[in-house]
Amino acid sequence: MKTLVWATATLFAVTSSALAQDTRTVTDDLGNVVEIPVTPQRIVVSRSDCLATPLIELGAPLIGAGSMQDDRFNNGKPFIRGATALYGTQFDADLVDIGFINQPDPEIIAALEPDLILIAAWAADNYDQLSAIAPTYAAACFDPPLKEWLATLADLVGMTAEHDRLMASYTFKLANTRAVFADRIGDPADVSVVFADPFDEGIYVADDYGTFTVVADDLGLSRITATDLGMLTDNGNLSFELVEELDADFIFSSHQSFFGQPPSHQMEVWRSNVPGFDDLLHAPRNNQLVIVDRSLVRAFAVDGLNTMLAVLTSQIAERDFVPLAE
Amino acid sequence: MNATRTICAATGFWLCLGGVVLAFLWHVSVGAKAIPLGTVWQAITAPQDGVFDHVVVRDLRMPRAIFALSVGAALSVAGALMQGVTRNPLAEPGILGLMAGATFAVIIGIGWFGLAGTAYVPLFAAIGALIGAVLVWTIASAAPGGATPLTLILSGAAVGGFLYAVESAAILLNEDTFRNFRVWLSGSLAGRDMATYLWALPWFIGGLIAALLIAHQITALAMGEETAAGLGVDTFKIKVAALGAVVVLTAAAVSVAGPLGFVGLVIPHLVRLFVGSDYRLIVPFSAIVGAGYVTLVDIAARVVLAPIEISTGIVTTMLGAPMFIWLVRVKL
Amino acid sequence: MSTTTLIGFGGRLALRVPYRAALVSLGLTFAIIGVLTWSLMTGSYPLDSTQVWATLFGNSPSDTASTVVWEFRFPRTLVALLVGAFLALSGAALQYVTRNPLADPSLVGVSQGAALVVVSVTILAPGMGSYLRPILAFGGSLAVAALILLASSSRRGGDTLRFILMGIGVAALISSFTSALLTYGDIDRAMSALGWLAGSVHSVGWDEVRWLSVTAFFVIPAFMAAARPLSAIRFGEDVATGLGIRVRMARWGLIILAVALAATAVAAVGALGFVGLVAPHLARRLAHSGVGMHLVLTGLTGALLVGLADFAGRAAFAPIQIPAGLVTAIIGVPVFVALILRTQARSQL
Repeated sequence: MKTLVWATATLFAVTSSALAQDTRTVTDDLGNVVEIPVTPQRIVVSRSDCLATPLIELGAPLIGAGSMQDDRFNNGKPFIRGATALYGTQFDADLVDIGFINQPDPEIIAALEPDLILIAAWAADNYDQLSAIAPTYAAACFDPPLKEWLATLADLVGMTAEHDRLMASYTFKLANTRAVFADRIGDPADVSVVFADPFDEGIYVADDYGTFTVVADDLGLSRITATDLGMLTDNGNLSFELVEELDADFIFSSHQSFFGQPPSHQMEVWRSNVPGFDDLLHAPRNNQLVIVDRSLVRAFAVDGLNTMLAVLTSQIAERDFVPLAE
Repeated sequence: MNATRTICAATGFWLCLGGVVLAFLWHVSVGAKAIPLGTVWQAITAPQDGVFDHVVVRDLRMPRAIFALSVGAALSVAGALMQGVTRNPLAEPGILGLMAGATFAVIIGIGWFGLAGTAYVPLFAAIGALIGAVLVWTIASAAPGGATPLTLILSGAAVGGFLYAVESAAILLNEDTFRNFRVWLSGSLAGRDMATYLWALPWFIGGLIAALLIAHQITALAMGEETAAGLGVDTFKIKVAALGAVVVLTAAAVSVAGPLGFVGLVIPHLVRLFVGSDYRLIVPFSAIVGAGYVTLVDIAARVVLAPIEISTGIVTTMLGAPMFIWLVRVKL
Repeated sequence: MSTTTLIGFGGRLALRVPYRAALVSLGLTFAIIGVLTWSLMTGSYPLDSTQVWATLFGNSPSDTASTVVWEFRFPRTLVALLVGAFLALSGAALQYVTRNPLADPSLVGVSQGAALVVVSVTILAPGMGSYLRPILAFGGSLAVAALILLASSSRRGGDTLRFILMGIGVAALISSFTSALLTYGDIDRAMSALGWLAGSVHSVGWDEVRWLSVTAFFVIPAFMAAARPLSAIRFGEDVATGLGIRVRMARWGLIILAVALAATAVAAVGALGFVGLVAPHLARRLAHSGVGMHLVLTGLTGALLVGLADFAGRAAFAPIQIPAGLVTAIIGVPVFVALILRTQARSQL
């Protein structure tokens, strides 16, 4: 019996090594040296936003991903933050829910027999378990600039060519849009924009907020940042007393209906915390406050960049607006 | 009370009230935005439409200062009553489970039933506070040895820890719920709406009046149950009345500001240092000093890291917990 | 493993204990073996019982099956059992020493110390890697416990009442710093730290089993040696002094052992609340006995509780993993309330 088992095991080992693809060695963001397949065929990821969504866009062989759940979205079924809102992606037999993004179920991952596992560097306490299943790469995926991270990820899964093709679409549209801006506005730096989300505790303003930051900077718009406002961290909220410092040609806020923040609620938060808000700042006064879907702002995908580009173009360059007097 | 003491107390009271008015004025004069004092004064005396500085003073700072005053007064009086009735120097709505119960109930009310800004918020908070208090008391008196200060405090910590675990379980699977609740859970005066405050206002007033009415009997009760009974006090009735007042005051405070820890502990002790053990003085002085204290703490919370504001509750705990530690070292 | 050590001591002490207690401890041991077996058999990875047995005896149907059973289920269950026993014993010791039935390591600063250090590092220095968390948590809880010990001893001599109250005060102070970090730190990192703190039995491996066993090997005998002074302390300081026991030394020794056990447990899996509170009471309800036997029962009960909590947390809503700490808190406290109320009702009859 034992001999038979060994024979089978050896046979299996031989066949699988014959099938095994080439590997290469990389160092992840925690300093682990990982040997990963050059073109992985079965990928499992923990984070849905910065890992699963871009891989789905690339068409990578993603077979399992971490989920989130909320009664108000996707009929209460588990969803992939980003991809479900952007592409309507659902979990099914080909894309398995492996549990909550910060604490996935290792047994489900093992059952999927992945050849590459990607996790977030700040939620990597199960690294040892996961690397017993397959090569595991821990990525600090929120730290690098968005475009840089998308390129790194595509390289990790051996899909740089696909990534370049997607980025080419964005680069092409960007060049076109610049022409539109040049025609309508002249110097895009004359247009000031700010991204600010109102919460009851204060106004969330970031230095770097997803696709909005990338596209606004690529277009050369003047962007008001948290640093400009003298905020110590990205995570504090700006006091409503300083709302006038957000005076810009355009203010962008975001709504996330399934977290109880539909667009009307966000406007309500602005108005209830800043009496006379509609007349106070230039943007709301002139109908130049735009509320976009937060899934779009936080989308880790070239598709998100393209859509944001279209939003900024139609809101700023393809219509008349009242410029803020100097 | 003899005449000299009455005069002393009255003078002290008016001085403290003056201090609170100054604290209030300071609160509305400083903030993330630098506004000249003249403009502040103008905003108070002769507000003009469309001047944002006036909006900041009148609509952003003044409501918040009023919230701070009310919450400070309510929590301090609640703490004073609890210390008197239980004869436990460490009693306080936060330590004995009322605040945890109220907070939990408010989260349920707002999160499940969408009651934000309605008349039901203080009601929910009161039910929660009452359940918290009863639970803590039952556990403590069921323990061998009965409801000693230590047992009460431990059972308060257990009930608080339990409710916190339930809250964590509810928010752990959803990052955005966590974002929405983490500031509220730490106790904050920022962005509280006027509607909730107006609904809580009758509760504040009712609780304070009740506290003043029973202050005399609390003094007797604080000297011991036999002494109180000897003085003709119906101890059971007074205890129930005190519990009612404490629950109402805690509920009002929590529905406006979330859990502000240790305010009810610090202020009555501070007050007792100056006015002695007569609750007819301790109650009004606690109210007035507590109002001033939370107003000052809120000033610090708003300006220390400006333009970012930190939670008032975090600051009251950072200041109050050392006081608790000091009390334990000195009084026990 | 600690289980066997306990039984060894239990056997020796069993000479003095009623028949019932010995029977109950035997029953608990079987229940623990049952939970262990059940945990080994159950999980999201499809394996039937014959496959699990085959894997355990070295004839694994596949490498993956071997990984799942040997690297995931086995160490995880063992750690849950060990940690449960540690926390239960720690709670029992604190309750005896303070002569207060409500003392628990999670209420007096041990967990909060670990929390502060882990949260600060996760939020302020995220590059450090989460495998350092156990060491940091251990350091944090020991440092805070030392601070509390230092603060509660005074010219008038150490007082255990003051130790508990000081613990609560210091715990509140430390929690306010933690909550400042959680409130204003990066949201994803805060979430990850919170998840770990809520009792993360899910990420343990054989390393944790190894050092928990070593700790058990050294600390639990010392603990059992303290059973004698414990039984004297239970009757009050005067009685104990009368019996010739150096009460102060015994007390502080036990507090230090209790803190060491709790700190080790917290370092392994984060904060599992209320096990130390519930297990001693549950054990007492199961069988009346002397201190030694009660400690054995407490350890076994604690192991069983956390073993079940972890099992329920990972199996009930799979693939969603409910941290064991939340399960112990949410189930433990109502159980505790029921227990203490029934005890009172009986004593009133």
